[in-house]
Amino acid sequence: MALPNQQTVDYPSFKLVIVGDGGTGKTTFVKRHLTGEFEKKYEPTIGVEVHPLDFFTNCGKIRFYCWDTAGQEKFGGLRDGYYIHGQCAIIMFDVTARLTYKNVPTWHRDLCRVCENIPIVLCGNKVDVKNRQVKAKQVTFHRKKNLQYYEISAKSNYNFEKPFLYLARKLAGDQNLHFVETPALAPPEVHIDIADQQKNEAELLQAAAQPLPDDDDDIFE
Amino acid sequence: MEWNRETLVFLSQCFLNTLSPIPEPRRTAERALSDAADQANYGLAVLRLVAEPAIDEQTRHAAAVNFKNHLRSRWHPAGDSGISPIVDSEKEQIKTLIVSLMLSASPRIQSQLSEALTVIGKHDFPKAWPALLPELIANLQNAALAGDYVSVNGILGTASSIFKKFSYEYRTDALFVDLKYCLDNFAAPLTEIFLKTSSLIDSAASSGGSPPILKPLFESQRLCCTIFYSLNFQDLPEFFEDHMKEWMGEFKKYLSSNYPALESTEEGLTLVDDLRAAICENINHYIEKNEEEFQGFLNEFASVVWTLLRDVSKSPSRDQLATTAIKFLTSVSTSVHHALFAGDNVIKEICQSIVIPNVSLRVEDEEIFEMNYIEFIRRDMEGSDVDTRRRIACELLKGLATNYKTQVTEVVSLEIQRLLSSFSANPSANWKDKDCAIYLVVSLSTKKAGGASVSTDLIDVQNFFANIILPELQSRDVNSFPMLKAGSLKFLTMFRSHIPKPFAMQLFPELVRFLKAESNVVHSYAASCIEKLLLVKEEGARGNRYAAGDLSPFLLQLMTNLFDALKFPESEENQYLMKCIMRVLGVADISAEVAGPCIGGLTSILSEVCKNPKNPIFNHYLFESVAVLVRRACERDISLISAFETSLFPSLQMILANDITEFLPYGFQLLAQLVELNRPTLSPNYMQIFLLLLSPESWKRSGNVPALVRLLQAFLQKAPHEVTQENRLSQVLGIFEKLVASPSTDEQGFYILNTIIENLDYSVIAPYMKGVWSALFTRVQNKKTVKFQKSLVIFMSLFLVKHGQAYLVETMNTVQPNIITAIVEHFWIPNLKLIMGSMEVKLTAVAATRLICETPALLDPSAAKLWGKMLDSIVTLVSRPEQERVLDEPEMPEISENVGYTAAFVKLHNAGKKEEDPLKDIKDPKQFLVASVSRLSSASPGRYPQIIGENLEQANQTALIQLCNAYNCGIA
Repeated sequence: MALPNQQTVDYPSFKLVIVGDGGTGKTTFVKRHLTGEFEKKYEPTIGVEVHPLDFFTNCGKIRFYCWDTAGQEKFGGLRDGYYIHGQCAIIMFDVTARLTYKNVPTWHRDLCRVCENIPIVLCGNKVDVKNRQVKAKQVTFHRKKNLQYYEISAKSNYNFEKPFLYLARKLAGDQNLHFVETPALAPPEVHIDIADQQKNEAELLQAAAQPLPDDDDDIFE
Repeated sequence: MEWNRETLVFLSQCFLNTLSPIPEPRRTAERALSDAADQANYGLAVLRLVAEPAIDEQTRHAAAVNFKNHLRSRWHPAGDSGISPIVDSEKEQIKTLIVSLMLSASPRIQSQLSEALTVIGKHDFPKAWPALLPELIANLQNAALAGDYVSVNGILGTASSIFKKFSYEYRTDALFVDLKYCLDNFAAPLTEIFLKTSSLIDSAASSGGSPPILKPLFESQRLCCTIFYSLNFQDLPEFFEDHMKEWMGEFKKYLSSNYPALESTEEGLTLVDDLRAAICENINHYIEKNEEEFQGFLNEFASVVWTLLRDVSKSPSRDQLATTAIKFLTSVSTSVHHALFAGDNVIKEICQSIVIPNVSLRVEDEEIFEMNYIEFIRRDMEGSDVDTRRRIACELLKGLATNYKTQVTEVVSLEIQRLLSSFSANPSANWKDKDCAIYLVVSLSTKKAGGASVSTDLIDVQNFFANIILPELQSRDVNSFPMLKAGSLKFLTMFRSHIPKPFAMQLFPELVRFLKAESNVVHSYAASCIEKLLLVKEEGARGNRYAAGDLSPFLLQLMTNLFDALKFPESEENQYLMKCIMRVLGVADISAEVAGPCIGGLTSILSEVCKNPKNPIFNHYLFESVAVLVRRACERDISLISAFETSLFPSLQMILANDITEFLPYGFQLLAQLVELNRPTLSPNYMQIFLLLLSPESWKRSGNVPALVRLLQAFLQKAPHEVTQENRLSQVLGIFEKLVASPSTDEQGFYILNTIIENLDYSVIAPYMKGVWSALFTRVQNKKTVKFQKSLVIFMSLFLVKHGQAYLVETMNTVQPNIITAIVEHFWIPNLKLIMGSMEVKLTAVAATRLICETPALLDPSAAKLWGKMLDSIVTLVSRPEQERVLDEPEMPEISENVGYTAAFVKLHNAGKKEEDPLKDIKDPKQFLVASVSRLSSASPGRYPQIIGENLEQANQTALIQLCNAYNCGIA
């Protein structure tokens, strides 16, 4: 493809587009790979940032050029203009903010209008947070649209490589492809200073998120 | 911006550069474009570039996306956005050009321009763009004549997105005006093109038309169906009622015909199926909303859909069509037209050719079982299987059973037998048949209202269990046929209350064995099954069916296997295993022999998860497990406490020192538990933590507050002397004041205050009481909530019963002379009758009784009315049930939206505080009341009956007389 200044490597590389509402953790997620660290402070992405991420598979090295796009409307830059030539995608939402899940269909539609028939993974981020608002069983969008769904935590690296593995398998057309080396992830972050985002005192009234130990009925619906 | 050679070069270079992964050229191009976008006619220029054949496709694609986004932000920008809108003259030119440009564009560009057109339409159509629909229709007719299906589909796609609003917006007059306009103009051309395309398909199909010819035709028909849906959504339009026969005829044709030229490839099959699924949506809509007009077609549709499903059900893909088509049959089965299913063998046919094939395991299910076990469990056990083929197929059986229960039961039972014999004939080849049988039994069982117990008419549970399930669970190889093992474990879990105890006792060791299965689903199900079994209640009797003694023989093996299972890949933080550990520790006999390895195992996991808290549910059960282990082991042998401290302190220190936000509330609760279990003279370790507790830093995070209060209470209770030295009490009261000032934390403030009153000597607290009352009365003045006033009544009562009315009145009056009467009148009397909870009712009733019988200020004749009203409240409190006294609390708690990473407080059930009754000597507050008043009245005969007659409600006077009679007392 005749892209100006196309970076090339001598192993397979793919353009991966990452979309989703602002603040869902897209930038944090890509930055966990290799050099990144957990972003304590939220800085909205302006336009797009491109990060080349390498993975080592049993069939050799592959590279994802991750196009980490802005989620916030006002910093959107070219928006779906960045999707052109996308070969695979991740749609991210935040399980602690319901609206970000409600907007998933819009992101999906815009994505599919530009890139037809590419493999897509839906990721519910921040599952390390106790008071989640989107329960796992409420997430059904992926079934209708044939996407893969993973719950992840960019903060703790939980399931970090799962979306990449799924996409790599689909792109290679090889269900048995696997990663042979764990990518060097930034150490998980356990110190978070939330003093500056002191929450409303009303949070105290928050009902305990977990079922009490005497719940007999929580498994069957 | 003028359209010339220079503009063309500039824009195309910019758009090409926006595709670069290298930041510099891309950002420069973005900036240039964003500056240019402010110029008039920028949109028009970009649109012309899109249409420029000399420019390469990717550049034009980028330009088309940009054009659409330009319109999105500038066609009708919000008034306060500061974005300048596209000027009217430019808008007009765009509207003139866009339809024809869209129609001549390549598919990718066409879809962008179609979306751009929809953006314009959203604001301008139809009123401000009267030319659009006529233009679309004229183009549609021309394109149809020319057989140009790229254009036909472009127009239909655009119409489909413009009309979509009719299928989701609320019925308003404005919407109906627009709908009528569209129907009047578009219904006929739509029908025309649909029928024309249909005849093209027929002739192409009969003459062996090739896929490239057929594909756009099918796409076209699908688009017609989505437009049909939108136009028919609100009400049945007259036009479509008149032309129902044509439409339904065509619908039926696509559901019943095959198109081998297309269907031989996966892509082609999807195309045809998408059309069929869209048709099923339409007929589903008709049966639900226009049943009367549609009923003439119902028979035929039911039969073609059924026939179609026979085919579809065999195929591994085709999910979308399978689910929509089965939904249609389910709708028919529950409608008044269900008689269609009454015929001989119909249900059997449906069961065999539709239900069973859709329930049977498919490759995707096996893949998820292996690759994404959490997702598998969610679908299989936790109800997250909406819209899966397995679930939809079972819904159809349930639908049929609403009218034909006996037949369905009979047929499905036979099918289950058939599947099972097929399995017996060749177990290793036909194992999926057995899985299918088990799945049907479990999915079709019905849950008894309000309980966890399920029942089924399909099989005899105990027989089925013994013959079908047990052999799987007794299989020596825990790793063979893992999906069958999982299904069997699920069956046992589901029907756990049906399995007689002696039988289940033999099963426990097998379940323990399955914890060693490599499959994550299997060992999770084994853990979940044990966990649920331990919760089974004995029928008719109170208490659980399985007790500590039942677990003893294999307890060590069970714990070993549970901890070992946590070492399997991907199960390191398996919440089912940890929940099972918690449950077992809550039931089993915790000897030192068990406690040692368990605390060792749990603390090593704890120090691991401290490095990186990931799964909050797993972590919650981990902390509960630690709490329950400490509690139950120490109940049995308090000397174990020091061993627990040694094991836990490093982790607790790590949590505090590293400030692991999400674990702090748990850490404080565990510390509170340990403090409470200690004998007096706490070790210096604890006192260091106490000092940490007083630092304002610790209280800054709201999630910590309830846990810190809990810990503070433990210290006040266990080490009242140490914690009040060196002016620390004033620091503690400082915390109280801060908490009590706000409605969201006042409850926590009272917890501290009440603990102080209960555990400290009066001489210690006396100097601070003026400050305490001031804080409380200030809060009453600033924000008076019912909850606060009730807490205040409880606190005053507690003070009174602990230290007597004299100190109460005296300290209160230091704030303001004689404030006590105002407080009694305005707060104590009205809120007393709202108190809930038996311990609280007793406390406040006794305290109020003592108040009126002992307080000089109230015994004074001038206070007779107050005295009487207080008695009235006490009688209400003790004589009426809670629901009659207490109105629904009008105050709604404020719930804040939680976004991002914040730690919330979650209570540890097993580290909870035991509530102590401050009035252990007094058993019956009613007796206390009448005895006290009787004693008082006998000292001044004749005085109180009058006060009672004047101030108590009639009902309360009667109640008081009844109480007097009951306790054999009199009021003289």
